[in-house]
Amino acid sequence: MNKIELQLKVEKFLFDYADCLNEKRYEEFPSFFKEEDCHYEVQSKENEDLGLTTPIMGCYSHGMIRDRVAQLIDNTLTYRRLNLRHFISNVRIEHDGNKINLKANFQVMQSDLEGVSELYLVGRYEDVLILEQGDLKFISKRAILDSFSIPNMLAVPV
Amino acid sequence: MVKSNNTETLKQKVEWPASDFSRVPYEVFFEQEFYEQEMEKIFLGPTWNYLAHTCEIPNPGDFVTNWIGDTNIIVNRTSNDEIHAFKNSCSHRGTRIVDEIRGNSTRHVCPYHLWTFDLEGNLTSVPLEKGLKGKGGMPPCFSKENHNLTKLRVETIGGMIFATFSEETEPLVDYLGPHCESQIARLLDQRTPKVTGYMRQMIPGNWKLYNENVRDPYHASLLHLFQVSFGIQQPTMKGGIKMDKDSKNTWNHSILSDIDDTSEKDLATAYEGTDKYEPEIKLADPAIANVPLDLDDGYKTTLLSMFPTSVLAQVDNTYAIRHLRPKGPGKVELNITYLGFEEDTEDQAFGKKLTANFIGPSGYISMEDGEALRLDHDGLKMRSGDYSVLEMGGIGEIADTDYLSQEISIRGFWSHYHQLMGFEE
Repeated sequence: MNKIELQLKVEKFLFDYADCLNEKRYEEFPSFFKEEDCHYEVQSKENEDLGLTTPIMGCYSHGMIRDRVAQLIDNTLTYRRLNLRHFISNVRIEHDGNKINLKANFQVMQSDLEGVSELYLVGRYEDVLILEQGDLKFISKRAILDSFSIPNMLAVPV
Repeated sequence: MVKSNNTETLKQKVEWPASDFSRVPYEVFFEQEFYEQEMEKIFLGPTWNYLAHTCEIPNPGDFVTNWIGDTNIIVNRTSNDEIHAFKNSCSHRGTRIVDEIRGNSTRHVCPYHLWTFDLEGNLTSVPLEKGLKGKGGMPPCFSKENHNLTKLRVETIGGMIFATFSEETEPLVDYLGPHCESQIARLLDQRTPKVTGYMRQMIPGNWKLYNENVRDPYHASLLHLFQVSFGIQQPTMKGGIKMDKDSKNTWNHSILSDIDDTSEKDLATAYEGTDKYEPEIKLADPAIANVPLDLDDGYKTTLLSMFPTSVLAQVDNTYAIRHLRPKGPGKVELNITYLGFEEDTEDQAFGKKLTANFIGPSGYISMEDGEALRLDHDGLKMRSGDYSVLEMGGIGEIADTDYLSQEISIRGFWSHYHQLMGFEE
């Protein structure tokens, strides 16, 4: 695979990930992560810059990633029914063998049940992916929020 | 100060129909006039307000900025190792001086005309004070010592730095009361606290709704299904509330207990008529629920709510200081400082990263509080002339309980609010 093909493949993977969240197919969310030894974190830019490690969300196994969306799938959480839409841009990749380091920007807009939209979150991804038998998976996915004053709550992964 | 006594108009605006505060007029949550009076009578009045923990400013010159109500405050450590706090507004033209969250500085210089203040808030230098070549300058009557920054009284307990604008506020330890004193010692004095992270959450609801929320163990097991399923807090769990002499500060705690057949049956009864109780939910990776408690004294949760805006919380094995920063009647920022301890082993530090998933705006236990407050604020705005109902756990005397499903400590909050706001005859 040449560099352009790999770039396109990674971007499609990110867009599929965003669609999964935008379309509330939470049961598919864990399948974007490699089953063994995967991490998912949401962190504030404030903590990141200060070298502080307490996360907003921190999942350090595939089971914990499944647990993160369990209440969303069961629909047992009390949270605002919003439509979220991810916009992912400025995707840069560097690869070393079958490991790919990725940086990208994201923005998530929220639209309420009456169709009023506003900015929900803005930040950057710093991810590590692995390419195995033609399939991409996250080994590590970190969403670092510029907008770390969280509007009300953050129930859904970013 | 050019402020009319507006208490009379507030008195005319609402009534408090129950002397035990089992009814609260809804206007106090959404009327601008109440908010303005609160800023003056509560936040600039005889209350102690949390600013920072001493471990955040370990060295001379270290500072942080924080809010007491609508007022931005600089708190810093001097070269004598004293802690001083003052209003972040220049004595010259009112400009905000420090426009950072935290840092280190040997002095504070106003960016506008470079008036310079020492770390005690004293004005030390005014550019061109004596003019230039005999011309201009400040008049002979100008004296720098009359133009220091507005200083606050500062006291600390367990490293928590509190400040007050009023000379009349009683000493901090008397203000907090014996339960706060012993619990702060339990949580913060046994080991050496350090900050492991900050978290901010902007809640679209009145700041007093959050005060009700933390004094309300009744909701804890009903709104938050997660902790019910995993035995962190249940309506059948043992615990209680204890208050200070003014009933303004609450220590609400629950005690670790084994789940047995009787408690399972009690649970089913408690949730009768709702669709919330689903005991079959299990974690795919139970590591997060299996982090051992650092302290072996049996407390599963400890919430110390200190009037008007501070909370010291141990929820499971998480330790955090929460601080409310009101942003108008309909909005409040919850600013959380997560604590670990210098003595923590690597395993304990990792355990705290895991249990961080319980709390904050994404916390399995706490994330729904913001939503409950949003819905509460949105709904009660339609209820001018009407009152909320606080009767769970009993009405009448405001007293400590040895059970959790109660709203008595919320009535305690309102009793003190009522007094500070001048509603009493």
